[in-house]
Amino acid sequence: MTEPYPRARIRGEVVRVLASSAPDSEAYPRLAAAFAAVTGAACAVAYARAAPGEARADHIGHGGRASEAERAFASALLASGEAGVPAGPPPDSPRFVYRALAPRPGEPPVYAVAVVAGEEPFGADAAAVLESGLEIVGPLLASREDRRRVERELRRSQAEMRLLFDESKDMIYACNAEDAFASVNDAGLELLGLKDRFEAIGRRFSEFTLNASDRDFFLRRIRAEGFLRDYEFVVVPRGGEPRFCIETAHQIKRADGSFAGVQGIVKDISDRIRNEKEIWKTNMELAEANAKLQATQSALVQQEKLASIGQLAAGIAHEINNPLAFLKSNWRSVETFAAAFERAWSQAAVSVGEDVLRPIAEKEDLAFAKEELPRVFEESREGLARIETIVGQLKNFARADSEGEFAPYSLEKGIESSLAVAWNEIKYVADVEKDFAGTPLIQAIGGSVNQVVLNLLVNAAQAIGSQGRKEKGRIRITTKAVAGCVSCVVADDGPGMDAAVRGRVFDPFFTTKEPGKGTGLGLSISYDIIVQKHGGTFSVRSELGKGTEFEFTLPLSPPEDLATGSAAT
Amino acid sequence: MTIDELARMAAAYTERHAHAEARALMEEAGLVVEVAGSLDTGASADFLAMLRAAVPLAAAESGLVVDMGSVHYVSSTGIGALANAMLEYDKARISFRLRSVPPAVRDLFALLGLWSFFKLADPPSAPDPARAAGDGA
Repeated sequence: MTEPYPRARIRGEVVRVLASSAPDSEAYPRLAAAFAAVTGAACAVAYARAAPGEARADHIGHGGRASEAERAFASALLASGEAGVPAGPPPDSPRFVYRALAPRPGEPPVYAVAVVAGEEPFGADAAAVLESGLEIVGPLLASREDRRRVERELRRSQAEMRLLFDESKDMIYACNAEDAFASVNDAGLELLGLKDRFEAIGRRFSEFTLNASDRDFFLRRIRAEGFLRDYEFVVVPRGGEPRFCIETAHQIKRADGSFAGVQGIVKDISDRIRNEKEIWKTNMELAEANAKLQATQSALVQQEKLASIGQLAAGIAHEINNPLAFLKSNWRSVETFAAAFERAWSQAAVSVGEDVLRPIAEKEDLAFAKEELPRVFEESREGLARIETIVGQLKNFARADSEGEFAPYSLEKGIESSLAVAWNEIKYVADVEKDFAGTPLIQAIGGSVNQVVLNLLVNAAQAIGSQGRKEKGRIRITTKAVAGCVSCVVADDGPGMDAAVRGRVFDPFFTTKEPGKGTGLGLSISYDIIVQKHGGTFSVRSELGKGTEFEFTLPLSPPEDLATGSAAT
Repeated sequence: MTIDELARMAAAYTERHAHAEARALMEEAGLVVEVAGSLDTGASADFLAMLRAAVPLAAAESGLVVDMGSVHYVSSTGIGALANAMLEYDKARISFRLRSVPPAVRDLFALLGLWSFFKLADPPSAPDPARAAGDGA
């Protein structure tokens, strides 16, 4: 006879078992034993989870007085699918009592099943007891299994996270509120150039950044915004080359909401940056090369123009030189003839008498002519001499006979010839003072140096002219010989330059002149002539409101490579 | 484009980007765009658009000066924006110069090997080691 069902006892046992940390192998037999004690038959308790077409009894416990054969039967029932009843309605068997637990959405149904092993069916009382018992044990079993499932998921998830942390190719780290490393993975150690975690822990992140200010800015934003995506910065590893990195991070908060630190993932994007850098660099080099090409082309055109002007001047000078020669010769003859005529007149006065000649002399105003003639002759001689000088200087300026080659050159003669060419530009705006030291002959490409001097003189005159002042300005040209060099200073008392302009005067295309008055190439070409072609120096001293001084020096002989290069061209 | 329109564009840029500021003004030296704060991935495209819009105005003046004195962070995208702007100004043969570049930003330019390509509007001072060394890369 079955004992009355001690519901409280069963419940107490079930709760004790399920609340304990007893393993399944212990818990399920204890439950089965409790059921067996109630029914007086061998029982098995199972927790089964099943999907359609699939039966699986996860846990089976046996208890009570069942024989080995009965236990085997119960196990077989559970394992067969009949007991788990997963796919269809429960079998109409007196040996089963089961309870379907409400499945969660999307999950297979779960059953708690109690089985009485043995050939005899349950009695009605026993079945009622078991059903009632399952009402208690079923949900508790399900709850226990759910909890354990969550714990298993959590453990698996933690293991996966650990794997992600350990195996990630990107740096994963955590820093505390002082931004000192609390943890960092292997990829992070490699990025930072460290051997093990002990080297990293406690060190501040900013010790490994190119700019500490970048990390400060990052922390300010993390504190303010809580999260930061794709923040770029440069890591400088211990003993390694800087690496471009990008970081996504979030702040860690304490329970009270205060800032506890940062967790972040840092990706090394150096390869990408390197590629971008190469593209930028190539583009910039191309742009620079293009600009240089344009500057060179313009410089060549400008030099060609200057050379053409010089050659034209030389050609004109040559053309003037021939008639000048016979003009000078004839003028000397005229002077001789005039002297002869005067002598003849004096003799005639003696021979025929003053009275005879006086009316003629008065009619022709010969007295005035006689008085004026020496001055006319003198002025004409001076005029012819000036023409001769200018023609000579024009020829010297162009130096068509030795263009492009190093040859003996007098700096001071070159300055004189350049002055002659620039004189028309200068004479209305400035007086010129010359302080020549009598510099020795040097080896130079004279025509080019003359162009430099001409350029400096014209610039000085235009600078003074731009002030529109009433009185003339002053241009002072000084030469001297110093330590294997000759130098020339062209100074003006014009408006001068500020630092920004002074810093760019030798840049191609830089000009402060009005449109149409300057190409911005004069000084850059001059610089090239003095420094690149002659191995000299070129400098400027200027202050706003205090005038400007350009000084260039030329070696007595050019460096071997320059002299050879010139000869080869 | 007038200086007022450019100034409005700069104000809009400041409003759009929480960590970036810009100001356009006409100085004795010419057209100046002052940029401050962070020149990062988010701000760079707008910044480049502003510099592009300034081209006609810069052409009428003696070029453009970008004052970076108050910039404290530049990403590679920011440097890319400056590089692209410089190339476009170069192509148009308009002067494009940087001014008051902070040392930290200059280091980044040098690391990328681009520092020597940029022209500066600062008065000449002590020799720049980054330029003397021909950039760091």
